[in-house]
Amino acid sequence: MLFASFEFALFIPIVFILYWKVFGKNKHQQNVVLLITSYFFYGWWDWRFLILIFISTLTDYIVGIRLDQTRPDAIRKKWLWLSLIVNLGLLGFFKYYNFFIESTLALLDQLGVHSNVNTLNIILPIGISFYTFQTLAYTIDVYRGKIPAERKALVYFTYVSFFPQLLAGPIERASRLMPQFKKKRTFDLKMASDGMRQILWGLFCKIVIADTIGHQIDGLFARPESYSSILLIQGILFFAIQVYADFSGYSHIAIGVAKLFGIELMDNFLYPFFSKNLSEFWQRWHISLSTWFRDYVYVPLGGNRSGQFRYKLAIMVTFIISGLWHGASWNMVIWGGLNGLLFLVFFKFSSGSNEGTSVPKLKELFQMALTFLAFALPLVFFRSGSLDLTITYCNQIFSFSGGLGFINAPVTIIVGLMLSFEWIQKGKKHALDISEFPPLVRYSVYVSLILLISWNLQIDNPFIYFQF
Amino acid sequence: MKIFTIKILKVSIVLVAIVAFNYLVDPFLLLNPYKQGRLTNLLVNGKDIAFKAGYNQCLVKSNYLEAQKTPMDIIVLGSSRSNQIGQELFKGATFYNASLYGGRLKDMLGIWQLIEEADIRTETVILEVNPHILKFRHTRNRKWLTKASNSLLMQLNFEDLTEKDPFMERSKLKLQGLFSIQYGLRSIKKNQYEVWTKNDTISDRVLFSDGSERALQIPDIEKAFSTRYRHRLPGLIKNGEYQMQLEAAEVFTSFVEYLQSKGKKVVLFIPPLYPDIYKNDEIRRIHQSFQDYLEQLRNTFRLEVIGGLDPSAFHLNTNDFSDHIHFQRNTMRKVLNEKVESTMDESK
Repeated sequence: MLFASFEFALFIPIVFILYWKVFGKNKHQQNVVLLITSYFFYGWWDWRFLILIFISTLTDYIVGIRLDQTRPDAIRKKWLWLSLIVNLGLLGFFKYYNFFIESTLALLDQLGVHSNVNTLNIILPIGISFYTFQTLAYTIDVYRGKIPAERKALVYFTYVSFFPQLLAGPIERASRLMPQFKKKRTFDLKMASDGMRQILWGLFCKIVIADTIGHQIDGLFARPESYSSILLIQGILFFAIQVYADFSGYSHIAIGVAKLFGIELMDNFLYPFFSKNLSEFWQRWHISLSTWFRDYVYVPLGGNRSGQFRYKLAIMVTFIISGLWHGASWNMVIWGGLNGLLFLVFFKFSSGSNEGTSVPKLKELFQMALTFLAFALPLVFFRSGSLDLTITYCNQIFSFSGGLGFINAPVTIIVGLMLSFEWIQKGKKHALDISEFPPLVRYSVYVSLILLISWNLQIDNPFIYFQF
Repeated sequence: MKIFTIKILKVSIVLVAIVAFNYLVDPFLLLNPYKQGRLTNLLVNGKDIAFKAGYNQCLVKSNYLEAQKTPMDIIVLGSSRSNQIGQELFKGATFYNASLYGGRLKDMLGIWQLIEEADIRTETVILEVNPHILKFRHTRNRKWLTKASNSLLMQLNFEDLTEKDPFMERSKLKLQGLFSIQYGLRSIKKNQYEVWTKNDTISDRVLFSDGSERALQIPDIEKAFSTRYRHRLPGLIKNGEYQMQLEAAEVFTSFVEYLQSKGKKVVLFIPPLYPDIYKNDEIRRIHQSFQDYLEQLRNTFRLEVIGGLDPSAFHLNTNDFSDHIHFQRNTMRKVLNEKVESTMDESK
């Protein structure tokens, strides 16, 4: 079930009424409603996916308790390994099996060894990259003694499967989210209203910005040889905005929906395009994943405490794994590697934050533009899907052919409006946090956004991040 | 909770207004069954109707066929390339052009199934055939014909090619129509009418759905082989747009056999290609397998063929085309001229 779909528009009010009105008496009933509806939500794609999430959740539930009960470190390590093997095994098999087989065969072929291993026709279970990371984080935190194991199965299963964040995050930490399921939620008008505003903003980002840009640039990436260099460059820049609008839109809807049920999820995007350097950018972009990689990959690799070489190595490995997490292809590995390199080269290009400034200075604009470019340009690997297409795309850009050509003006204007609005609201948790505005202005903004969404309504455009 | 509900309702007024407007104007006849029925009745009673460009031709023709009981001497099945085959080419014969924009093999099967279900008797079936038709991949999902095409595919023993009835997709399309402002606004855009008459697709004077009769303004269609299409051509070739699908060809053969077994005369119509496209070496190479298939089909079933891929065989030049795919209105006479009389005579 997509967030921007009619099924979801029907699903939400039903769950809302069940949760608050029919079974809202105590926390157990509320959790039961959330658990059942979350499994229904996930099974809507394909009921077989439920088996995987159940295995992953059950494994970590048991492992967590065992880790808590066991003292000898050697045995605890074994339990941790069990969790790692099950979760990364599921992820590896469903997401990376074909990639590794194909890559190995290609390598052997280059070495003159011809073997015949078949790839499998595997469907990637939606959301698997997200919930396996969430359960892994829980187990590692229990192993490290940062949090106690959760003994109530209902609480733990609800934490893993909570539908607003199940398919594409935010990848929540148990220490933040799980305590919220342990107490009865009471309806909070302010929170629910803010949730609705955030949902509206998310739908606007997804339907009006991301989908519209997608229609404009899909052709450029499918047949780059048919378009001019200037148009192709714009294609990359607009794709950066599309990914942002698509994924931050999804996150806003997820966070907004969670608020309707009295649950506060972590912020996932905090105006990353206003960052003045790449370090700041990655702290504002897909925050739940960036911090996950920081805590469970970068720091264990030594972080910045073990000398320059180890630090650079840790950065590169983290970014490359992050690239691979986004997709099982060499393009994604290169994309991750490029981001790592750029991060090392441009790290701390500038310092300070522009949160307080209303009009950016020329220098700040330049820094933001440079940061944006450093993020956007490698995306050609991300979007092209194959090395061949990436090379064709780049060759066509550097052929300097085809004269002028521009992405259509209304798209550019609407993107400009979105970014301007975000700039004005950049101190807030989300751009549509306008509760203190006069009612007339507030309702005018709501109506305008609804009209824009209605104007651009194209159902069934899946979110880009679902493929991860 | 009460205040929250009131707040939601306040904002929802905009949505209610959009839904009400769309339901009332309903330019593609998606939402309002009464309006669909009324217009179908007008068509069945011999009136001509003008629709807004982009209307759901598939739905209208499906409705019409379900309501139609008159025997037809000649029926045309195909894509928009066949739309220009008009009544005037078959004077004296009753005629119905059942071709659909973007139509492909499964659409032809679906439409034919509806014709059979409506028990419309017919003598001659003109089937458009080319690599575009012989394909299952669809640029437009025929959400209204799946059930009918499934039914015929089962009869032809191609159960594995049937599809799940897209009830959900149809419902979503309707909901999208209800909530999208663009949908309703289509009804007030000017000069974007497409006209469908009882027998044909285009007419000079038509009765509009509001009851007035006035001259039709057909929008100017882009002439000549546009630069844009020339740029797109390599991509289209690469994506298999000019390649026939072997499995589809098998189904088409069975369909021809099925029609003949029902005593129908089958005539193949091959729309000539736009001259620049026909000259493209890559396309000519791709089309060789289609030509071979056609030859085999014609010999096996002793079929009459009108048209052909080569435009020069009919002395066609770029001026005979309204765009890079479709003919001008009077071009069809050049293509059909010699064959029409005989087809008509035999139909009688």
